[in-house]
Amino acid sequence: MIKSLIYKEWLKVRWTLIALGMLNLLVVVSTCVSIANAFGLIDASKLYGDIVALQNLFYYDLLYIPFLTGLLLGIVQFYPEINSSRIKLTLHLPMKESKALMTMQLFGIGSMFLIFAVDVIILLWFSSKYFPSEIINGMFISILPWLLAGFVIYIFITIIFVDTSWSRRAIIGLTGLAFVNNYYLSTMYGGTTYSYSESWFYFVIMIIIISPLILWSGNNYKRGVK
Amino acid sequence: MKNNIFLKLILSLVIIFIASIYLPEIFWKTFPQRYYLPRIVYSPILDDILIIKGDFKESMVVDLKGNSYNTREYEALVPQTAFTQLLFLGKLPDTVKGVAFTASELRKNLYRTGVEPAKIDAFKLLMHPLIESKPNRASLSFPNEFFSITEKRMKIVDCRTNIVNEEMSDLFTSELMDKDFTFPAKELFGNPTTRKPFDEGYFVIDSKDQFFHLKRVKNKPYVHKVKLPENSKVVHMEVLERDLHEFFGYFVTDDSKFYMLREGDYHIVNIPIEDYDYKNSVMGLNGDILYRRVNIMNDNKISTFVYDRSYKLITSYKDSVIHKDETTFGVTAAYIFPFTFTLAGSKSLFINFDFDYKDFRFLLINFILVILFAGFLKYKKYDLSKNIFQFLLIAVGGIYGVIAVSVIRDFNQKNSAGVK
Repeated sequence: MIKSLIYKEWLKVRWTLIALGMLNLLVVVSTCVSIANAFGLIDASKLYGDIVALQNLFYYDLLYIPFLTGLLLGIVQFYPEINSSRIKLTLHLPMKESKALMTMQLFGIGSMFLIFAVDVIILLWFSSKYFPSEIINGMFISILPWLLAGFVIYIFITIIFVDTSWSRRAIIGLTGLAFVNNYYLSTMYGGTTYSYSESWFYFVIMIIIISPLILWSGNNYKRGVK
Repeated sequence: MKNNIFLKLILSLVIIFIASIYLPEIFWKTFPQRYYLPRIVYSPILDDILIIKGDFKESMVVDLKGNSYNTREYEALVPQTAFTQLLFLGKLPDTVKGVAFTASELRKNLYRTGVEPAKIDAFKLLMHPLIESKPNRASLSFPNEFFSITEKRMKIVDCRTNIVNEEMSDLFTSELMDKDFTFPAKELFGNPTTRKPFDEGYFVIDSKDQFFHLKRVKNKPYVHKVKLPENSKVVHMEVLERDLHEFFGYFVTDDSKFYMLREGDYHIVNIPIEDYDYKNSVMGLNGDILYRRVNIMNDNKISTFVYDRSYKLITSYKDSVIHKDETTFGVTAAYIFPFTFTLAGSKSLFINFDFDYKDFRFLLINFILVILFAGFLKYKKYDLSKNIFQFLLIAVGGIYGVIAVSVIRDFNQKNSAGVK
């Protein structure tokens, strides 16, 4: 049953997923190309100096891409469900409703994870040709919260879409935006690589905590609570 | 049903957590409070301090006897700092207190630097440029060698090839080990720029809290172990690298003491200060041809210490303005907001979860909110005893709890079977 549900989700979002995957790849590849070009055009010591001393993040283009990925994937995956209440059918499948909802959400999270993993692997692998491990570690810790922000907005979209009351959606929506903002605090002071180095773990835990809230929306949906 | 209570709890905690970060932040952004602390300068003409009071709109200069001065008069009283203007007017004295006042000397001696908690609790650089301190050129140039001090050695990477320069790494590593350095380094201080008159390299804390000076001279390592005062650990150093060539810089120790490190002989000068706590205070150091001045600012309080050139205390002055928490807005905030979470605080560049709560004044508002909520339930003809969870949220979370309750709702309803 789960396999069929996953297949249904795949049929629903495949083109979007492919498009989002391409977008991510485009940004990552363009970042890689600019590093390679930069080493041909500018003195390597200046590039290094900018990165280590001035905290110049050459991969800054990636900043909102995971956010956009999560946002669009969430909308494309869940809008058809609430539009003319198709989710009712999903909730009437011969499996637990909680399992069905969690499967749908995990499908989205899993797809995003794959896309982001490809981003990170390409970017770090390519950068490691030009930079030593210290800089690569710094890159990872600064990109991580941006990626996590993608998951956060996706989870909030699923919660909002499955819920039924507009006033509640509005408050949860604002909470979601504020929640996502917590993952972008390092960019407030002009891009600092190590802001989350001491606390990134808690930001991962927070995602695990908010993920089951889709079941609460599901409950409301089922009971028709306004 | 059990599942449902659990979910409600998570949702409430998430909303309360987010509200406790952003509502106080929005409040203080709407009603910003800035401390306009007096500025204290020392006049060699009066041999006493002058106090500059006021905000950016209006300020006045007074002395301790209560006389006030206009800008012209003030500038004439502090020729050691206002020399550009006096020179412009042709009124710069030739000597003051037996010291010759020439523009170039005055300029060379004038400096301002400082350190604040966010500079101390900040990121360590990923790699450090290994600048050549004695280049055969007029100015410094950015090197191709960048280093980090790892668990076992000093690793120097050539940035053109991204390959470790083994020969140079070994040379620097063995020199460090010869001088009793224990790997890895805890922290490094230096100015990774070539926009400075000369280079003094880095000051490094090793894993045993010993302090070292490290630089690259003619491609060879220069390492010097700095003898620290008994039982003190350096938490931060500012390397000055100024034309004055007086000090390498100054450093702060874990017991919040303040020292200067003399250039050349590494002599440590203890600067007598009070009220300083490196985790909370902002410190400013001002130097001119006659005096040195240290400002210690703790929120609404300022302590200023004036020294002569050999850091002997001449005088000190302490003052304060009304604290943010004592203003109308501060008192209001203490009633409205039960507690506050700060993720990106002003005292650290790291993102952390700082929980802050002032006192129990918020309980009054929480109590009123609970009464109002009870009234609301009565009005809507809900059963009070069946909404204990919501009552608890408001009693503990105050206005944050109200937001959570407005999302959760579920008043007095028999819980449905829910999603299984």
